[in-house]
Amino acid sequence: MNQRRKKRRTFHRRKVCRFCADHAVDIDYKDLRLLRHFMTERGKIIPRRISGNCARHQRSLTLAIKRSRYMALMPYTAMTTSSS
Amino acid sequence: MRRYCNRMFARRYETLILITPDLTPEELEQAKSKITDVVEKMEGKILRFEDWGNRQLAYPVKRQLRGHYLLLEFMGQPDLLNEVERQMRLDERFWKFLTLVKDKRFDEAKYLEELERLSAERAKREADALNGGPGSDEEDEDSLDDEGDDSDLDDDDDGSDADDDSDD
Repeated sequence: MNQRRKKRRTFHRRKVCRFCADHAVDIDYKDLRLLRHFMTERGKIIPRRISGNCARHQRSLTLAIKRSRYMALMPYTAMTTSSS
Repeated sequence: MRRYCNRMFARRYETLILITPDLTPEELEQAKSKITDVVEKMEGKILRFEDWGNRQLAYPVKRQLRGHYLLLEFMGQPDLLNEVERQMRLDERFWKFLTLVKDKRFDEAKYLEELERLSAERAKREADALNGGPGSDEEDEDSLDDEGDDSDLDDDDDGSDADDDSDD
């Protein structure tokens, strides 16, 4: 383990896109549990340099998140305390 | 030429509808049947009708924080969709809706076959999961095998079919 540690501590934890690794997972805007993994607490979409998704799946994920935002399933932004 | 031929095929649509939560059960039934009637009248067919019930919204819509969701999957010609959406736009009780074209050439036999295949696959996956699963890497830590949707078809929407911009 120690030999492997490089100068720049790189995390190779998720090299492969989750959706490429498991073809069984569809990206669907109604699947809130799945989409929530790719959003921050504030409702921002996590960039793919962090999530490790491939471009293709990140695109469909983004589209799905935007669709669910339109349908008020997902927030555009975290709610202000007064309204929640 | 090809485009012209396409018109002969029915399409499969999936529509998620957000309606006002303050309806009496009778009014709700009436609103539901309003849509189903249109579909049936115009030679369409309801494939799936789910009532998600009253749910918390992610942000206020029409100044309310709750809404009632209906999920509808149906097949029909493109003009059927236009009529369904027109009816919803005219009705104040319907707040929002989003339609995706799930299948551009709908074939009922194929559709049923697909459903069968997917449920078989799901059963297999669940069985795999019980036996430890084939790939128990760290990727598996958050459960991704959600039942999710029953379609791996391209759910591209034509610009005309989906209202992607909110109007309020």
